Amino acid sequence: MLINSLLLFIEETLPIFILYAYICAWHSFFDVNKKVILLETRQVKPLAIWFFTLKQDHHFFYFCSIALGLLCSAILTHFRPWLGMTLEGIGYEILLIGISLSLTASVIFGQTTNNDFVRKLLFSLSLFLLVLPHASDFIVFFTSIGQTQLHSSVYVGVSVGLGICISISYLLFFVFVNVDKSQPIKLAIALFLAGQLSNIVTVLQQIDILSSSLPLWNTNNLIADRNEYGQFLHVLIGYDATPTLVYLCVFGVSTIIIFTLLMRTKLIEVKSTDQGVFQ
Amino acid sequence: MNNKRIYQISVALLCSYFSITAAFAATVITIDLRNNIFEPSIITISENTKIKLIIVNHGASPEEFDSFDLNREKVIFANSSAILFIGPLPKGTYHFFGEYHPETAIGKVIVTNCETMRIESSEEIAKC
Repeated sequence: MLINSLLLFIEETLPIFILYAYICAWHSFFDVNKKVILLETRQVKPLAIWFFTLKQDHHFFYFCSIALGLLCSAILTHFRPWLGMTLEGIGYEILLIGISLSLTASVIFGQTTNNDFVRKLLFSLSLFLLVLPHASDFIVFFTSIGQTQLHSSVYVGVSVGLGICISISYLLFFVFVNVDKSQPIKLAIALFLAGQLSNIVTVLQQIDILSSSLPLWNTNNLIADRNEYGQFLHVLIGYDATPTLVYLCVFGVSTIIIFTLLMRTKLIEVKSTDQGVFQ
Repeated sequence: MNNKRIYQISVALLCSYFSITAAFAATVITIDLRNNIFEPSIITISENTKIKLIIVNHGASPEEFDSFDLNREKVIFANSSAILFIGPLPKGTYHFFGEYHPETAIGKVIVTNCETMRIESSEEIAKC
């Protein structure tokens, strides 16, 4: 139960933590409301200082959207049995597809706008949309386990999972915020969003709107989907040990389109200028 | 290659894809979930067959049908059922489990070369 709880927690919450890290890193590149510090005063900061630089106003938006997402996911969970029976049993899957598409659109539009307020709103919306289904799954898990008995291993699994997610999230934020160029963060976001979009393929195959096909290869011996590394790589770069042709096509095309869109959009990059560094 | 040719090839590929898709008619299999145990827990199907799996949860708590091998997951709420499609699959054994009760709710789908499909609780391959 410990490993199961850990994997379930990572599966459900890691995408939220990674998206949070990416959008915070994005703010470090394109937030025009920052003050200028002369280049000569720029210095490497210790880890503790990086933590306190998180105290920026966009976090208020994001924490509120996550809280709202948690609240709405509780409501969603209440209606899920009914939703699961609608449209001949595919009602919830249709909702999931709608959420995935809206999530991708809100992140892309948030990244391609120069208006800070609109960006914060769109990023908040994307976090809300990501929290909604994942938190609902977790509530169902706790409901089911709670009806029998809550093992201590569940709490340990959740605690360890939370620690792993926070560590990965902060590590990603720290890496991207210390890279001078914006291309790596753009590529990382494109891969992340393409992975989220590609999940639609599995959902469509599950409800037989898209027919399943044989996997092109099987790398379960190398990195299995079921272990922590498989889960991590799936969220980060859309890794699948047994990908089908449709999955690969959707993933590849989505990555190229999103990355091209982000590269071609004229954004005011404020991280490094000739005059100084914005912080 | 001009745009018209690309368009024609795309349409042809799309049509052939959906033709192949339609050729696989789904066979219905029902699994009952009682006391956090799948019944039957072993399903034997023939190679390259599409299966419509109906999972009926007779318990009082929800369960999530999960399979990394089959790449499927679906929550089945208490006293309700869920439908999902699997396959066509190559020969092999594909494990599935109930994510909320992984110790007891376990099962597998065995894909064989058999022409007839059997659903048994044991010795499926021998019977094929």
